[in-house]
Amino acid sequence: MSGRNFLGEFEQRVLLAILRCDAKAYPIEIRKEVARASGHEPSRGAFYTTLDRLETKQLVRWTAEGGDAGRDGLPQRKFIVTPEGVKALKASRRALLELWSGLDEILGEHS
Amino acid sequence: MNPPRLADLILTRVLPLGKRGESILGDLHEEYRLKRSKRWYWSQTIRLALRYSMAAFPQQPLSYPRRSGMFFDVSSDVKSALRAFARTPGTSSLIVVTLAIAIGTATVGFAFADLALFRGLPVDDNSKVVSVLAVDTRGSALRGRMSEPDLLDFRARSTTLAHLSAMRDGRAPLIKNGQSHTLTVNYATANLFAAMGQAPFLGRVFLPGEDEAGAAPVAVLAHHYWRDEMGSRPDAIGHTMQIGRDIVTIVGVLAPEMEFGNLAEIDVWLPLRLSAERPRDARSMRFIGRLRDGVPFEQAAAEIAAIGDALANEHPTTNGGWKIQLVSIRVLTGGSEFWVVIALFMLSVGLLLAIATANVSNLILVRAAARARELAVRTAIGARSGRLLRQFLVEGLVLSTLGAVLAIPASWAALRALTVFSGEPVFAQLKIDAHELSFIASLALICPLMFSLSSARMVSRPDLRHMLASLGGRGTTSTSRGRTALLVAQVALAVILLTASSLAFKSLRGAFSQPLGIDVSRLLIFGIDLNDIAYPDSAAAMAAANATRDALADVAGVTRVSMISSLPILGDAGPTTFTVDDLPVLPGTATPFAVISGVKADTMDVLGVPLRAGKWWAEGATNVAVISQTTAMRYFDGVEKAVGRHLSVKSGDSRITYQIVGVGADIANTDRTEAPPPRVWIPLPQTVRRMTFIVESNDPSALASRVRTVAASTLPAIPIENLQTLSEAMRRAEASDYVIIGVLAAFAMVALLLAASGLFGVISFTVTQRTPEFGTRMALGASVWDVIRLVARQSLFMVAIGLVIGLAGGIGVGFAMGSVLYGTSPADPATMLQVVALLTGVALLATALPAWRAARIDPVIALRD
Repeated sequence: MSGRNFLGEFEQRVLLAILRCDAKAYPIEIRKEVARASGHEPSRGAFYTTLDRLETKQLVRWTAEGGDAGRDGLPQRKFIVTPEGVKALKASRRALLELWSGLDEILGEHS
Repeated sequence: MNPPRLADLILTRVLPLGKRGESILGDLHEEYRLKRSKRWYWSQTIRLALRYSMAAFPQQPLSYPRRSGMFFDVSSDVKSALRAFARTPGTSSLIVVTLAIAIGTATVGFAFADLALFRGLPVDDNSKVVSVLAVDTRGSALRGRMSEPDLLDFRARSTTLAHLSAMRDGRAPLIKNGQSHTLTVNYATANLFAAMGQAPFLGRVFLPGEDEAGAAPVAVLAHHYWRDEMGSRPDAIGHTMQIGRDIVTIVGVLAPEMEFGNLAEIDVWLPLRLSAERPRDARSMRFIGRLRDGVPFEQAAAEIAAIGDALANEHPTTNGGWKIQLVSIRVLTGGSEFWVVIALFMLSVGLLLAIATANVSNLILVRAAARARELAVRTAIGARSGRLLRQFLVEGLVLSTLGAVLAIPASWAALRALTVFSGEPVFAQLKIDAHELSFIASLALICPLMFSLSSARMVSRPDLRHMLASLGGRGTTSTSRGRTALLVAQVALAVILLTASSLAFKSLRGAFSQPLGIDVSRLLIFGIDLNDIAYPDSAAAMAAANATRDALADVAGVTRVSMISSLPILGDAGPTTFTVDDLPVLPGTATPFAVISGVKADTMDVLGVPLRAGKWWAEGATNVAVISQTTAMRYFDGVEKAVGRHLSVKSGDSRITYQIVGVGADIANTDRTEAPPPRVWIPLPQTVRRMTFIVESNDPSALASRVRTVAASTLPAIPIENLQTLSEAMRRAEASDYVIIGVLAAFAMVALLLAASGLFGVISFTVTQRTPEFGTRMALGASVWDVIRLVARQSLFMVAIGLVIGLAGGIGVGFAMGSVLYGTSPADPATMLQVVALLTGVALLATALPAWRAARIDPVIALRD
């Protein structure tokens, strides 16, 4: 399990976006948040299959809510990140920060 | 505004089941309410569908249930089809090649039909565009063209036709840098393009009034002329060119669609200046009109006939006896025989596809039998027959798609070869484009439906396992009966095609083997047009022609040189009416007519036309004529009684009377399936400017370049047209007819090949299946010949049934072809015999190899296996 639980970059973005949306973590909002932060809209196909994959890895969970007339009564899903999801994010962050540290001069983000 | 329902239907098929999928759909609906774009919705649908169908093979197992959609299964079916191909490469390749040949050949046939039926006519609406024909009711066979005063009267009186227009073909000299070039032109009234519903490709067409006397001269170019001579330059509009004496301004370029049939040869369109002064019986123009909106064809036809009758009453000398008919534009372009040929092509295409499908069915059956174990296993583990059926269909589709892909270059190459062989401009219009590609695509879709049916029957049978259990033994009787029926059908279809094409070939050969009436072997010909720009004076023109003749006669190797106004058979002018002995035509009898050509005193001798009576006139004689045998028989009570009598021909306002001094033999008609036309030869008039030179030599082809040099020095300002040997010119004229028959014959040969390969396949298969049986028989004392006889009997029995059915069908098709057959009966016994012999021969060949294999069976090995 541990070896397989590394997060892809897009998976990280989606997880973080779910956390940021908090109480409004519906797919449309999550996708908007991913788009706002990264500057380009992910395709719906990629986005929904990523949600499915995160669910399969048990990093997110969802509950269905009834839909209003604007959705023709179709249900909508509200996502939350599971404790495993938070753990995976923390692990990724640690690993990345480790790799980032000491490279400020080369990458020059601070200047 | 709701999202497209079809898109939703697709989405519910591909998205995951339950709330998961429904919520994604809900998201899309919510966003759709903001975007309000169906296009957006569709693009999202397609992308999601692709995404989720690719996820059909996930690296990680999905934790949620999924609908078992058509979509996923089909892609696995395709994979399994490709696996099946790899497992039986021989049979599968044979199937693909068979389909490629059949689809390719069918496409060639379709390209012809397409040319005639679909892209064919250069008009926007077949049902509205009409033509007006004049028919001589006194049976002189003159038909078709009309005169200028008639056009003006019809225009003034008709209320049912709009844009009644006229056109006339001709040639005109293009003067460029002091040199003449001959243009093929068409003179058209300004409203012709409106009548045909044709918009220009560039610039404009003629404006109203540009066809009236005194208007500034303008020209519209044909697309090919603009492309080839002007390099497709858009700024050609506004340029001028000198045509004859006129400096004409190019105002437009026509669309390439205009280049249909004979119209394809036209280089430049010029305005037809109408004049009411021209004689009413100078019938040289084709009328094109357009039904006014809401006017039914019958109403317009009645009105036109009535106007025609009124004109006949008002102008009895010129219009009496002529009936005016309104016809659909199709009649003008084709004629009934043309449509028989097209129908024959379509029939051939259908038969050919049926044979190929039957063949492929057989091969698929053989292949299915070879894969029986796989099918048995799949059935055993619970595959429904519907599922297997679909797999067969998908496999069929994969095979036919491969075949179709191969068919595209094959049919393209075949059409190019036809174009190169015939040189007829019409055939150059045969091409593979969107029409043909969609034809190929629909065949690729339809064929698998046909040939997968037999496999499907096998799969859906409940005793499948029994049959599979008996594998390696003999096939069940019902499958072999199915194969026999298919094979009989194939043989029958091949016989029908063979019969039809042999009849057509025979009738064409019959027509071409009729005596021409002239000797084509030692002659070189070329045409000149002594236009009035290069030779303003007609006496100077004739002097130049005579000088050319004298110069050519001095060339070493040339025995004689002569001239004729228009070459018989190849360049005949239309028939002209004449009067016999200045007697009025009796009521109810036909006005005499003949093809009249101006010749030199020795022309007919050079052409090898023998005299039947009298003599040729001496050079310099005037008002004398020689008539052909047919003319003498028809109008002068026989060959003997004709000499010394008179005939007169109208020329402008006056009549010229000629004394008949001789009767010559007949010369064939331009349409060789028709009887020789009545002909009259008169001394080449001094005013003739367009003529053909005939150069006689023992080796005419070797003289061509020398003749060109001489003619270029004596006629410096005008071009030499169509310099070639007469035999070559005749061969070319025949080639286009042979191309049509050749295509038919090719259809028949492909059919025969397919039937033979089908026969071979089935016999080989049975021999393999019956190996143990043959082994037993031989072990019990059967001789090699007994075994061969057994195999051959089975094969020939099927062939015999197919032959009988096919011959009956072939005779039926022959009768349907009746109108185009020349000199042969639909049930021609010799043709039937040839077909039977050919098919039996091929059947024996196809049987020989498997029979030989059966005879070489080693009984010991056969029994052990």
